[in-house]
This record gives sequence, C-alpha cells and structure tokens, in this order.
Amino acid sequence: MKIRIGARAACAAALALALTGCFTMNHTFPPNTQFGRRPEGAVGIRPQADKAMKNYMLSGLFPWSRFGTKDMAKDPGPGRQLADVEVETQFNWLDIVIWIVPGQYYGYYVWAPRHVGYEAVVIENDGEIVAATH
Amino acid sequence: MKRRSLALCLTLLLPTFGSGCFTVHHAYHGDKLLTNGAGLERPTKVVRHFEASDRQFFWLHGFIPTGEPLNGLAMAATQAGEHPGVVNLKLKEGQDFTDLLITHVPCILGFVCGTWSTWVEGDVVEYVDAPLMGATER
Repeated sequence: MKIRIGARAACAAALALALTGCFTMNHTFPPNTQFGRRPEGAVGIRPQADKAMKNYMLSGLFPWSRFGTKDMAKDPGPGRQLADVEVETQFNWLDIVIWIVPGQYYGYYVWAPRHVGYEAVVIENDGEIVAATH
Repeated sequence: MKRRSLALCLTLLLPTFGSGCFTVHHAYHGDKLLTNGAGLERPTKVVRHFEASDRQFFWLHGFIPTGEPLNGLAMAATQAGEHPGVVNLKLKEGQDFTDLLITHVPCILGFVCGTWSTWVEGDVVEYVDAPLMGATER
C-alpha cells in the first residue's frame, strides 16, 4: 500500500515537473507584421480579425487544436502586411467551466482551453524591408 | 447527498460568475515601429537584444486581477527606449514554472487565485544613417 502511494506521489511529481513551463502560447503572425506605428506611406486596405478557442491537454504540453495564433492570421499576400495588430487572450466562462469540470475532475489539467483572438488591418506597402545588421 | 449536490452546483456556478474577466490585451498605439520582420524599410543596425517578462496575479479565476494589466507590445515598446523600434519581435504568454507553482500549490489548483505571464523578445534597432534618431523624425 505504502509503495503504491509512494509511486503515485512520484508519478504526480514527475508529471508536474514535465509539465512546467509548457503552457505557453506563441502569438505567431505572418512575416513583417506591424504591431506598432504603421510604416510611412502604408495604405490600409481592410480590417482582418479572428477569434478561436484554443484547446490544450496536460497543462499545455500538447495542443488539441491550432496552437496560439499561428494559423489564425493568414498571410495577406505579396506587397501586403498586417498592421495595427492587437491580440487578446481571454479566460471566458466556457473555458473555466471546461477547465474545472472535465479538466480537473477527470484528470489533472486534461483539458484547459483559452479563447485567443486578434484584430488587424491589412496594409499595402511598396517599401522593401532591409534586414537589420549587427 | 443533498450537501454533495449543492457543493457540486456551487462549484459549477462559481466560475461562471468570475468568467470573462481575466483578459490579456496586447496593444500598442505609440510611435515606435514594432515588427516581427528582420528589419525596417531603411537600413538599421541592432543596438541590443532583449528578453522581458511580466506576471499578473489574480483572484478567483481572474475575477479580481491585481496590479498593472499585462501588455507585451507595450513592454516591447518600452524596451526600444529612444530608438525607433524593435525587429524580430516574439510575443508569447502562459504559465512558466513559477506560475504553475503559485497557481497549483498555494492557490489550490487555481481555484482560489493564480498568475499568468507574458514574455517578449526582440532586437532594438536604430537607423544606420542617423544614430540615436528618434522615431518621430522618420
């Protein structure tokens, strides 16, 4: 009995250690996305936005669905960029209910969702990007 | 049995009251250029590489957030200082070891309280033709 309890504790500790630092969402956008001031001469074409529920298992070790915003923001195409980007992560009521009911009751962080969204403007920009030197 | 049902109902209802409250909003409306690209439209050179992070504590599933709201983009702009902008910007958020420790041990698996973090990484750049040129002079 004592061995089983010890083994369980060891498994729980190993799992907890294995999961640390994993629940991380990388907000990845298409190349040359502008998060601050727009480049000079850029012209806004149309707004672009998306919001989706991001599902993770085992405290974020594995994504159930698309990870972060990587696949949410589509590349606007040649000569175009995303600008005025704003990213929002929300623990909404559905996320919390799911996290508590199936997540906590049927396993430690089995299912931990978050709602992630972004808003941006597609801009047309003729300027060429010159890579920074070191 | 009745008590157990009541406890279960309360557990299910509690999060709905505190829901939708903890929201992390990354936005920047200042004059710095922040991009995930390798450079700007004019030649630049890297002044320094930076990595910065911020952590926010909240009570009851984020129902009562404390301190300054997390904003990775504003944090990156602050890192730029007097320089025009940041390139190779990476933005991420979540929970690291410390967050998990706080959230799961003293906060009892996140039911009572928790923490959430934001990390930014990038290269502060300046224009090569005009050292220390302010962003507004572009």
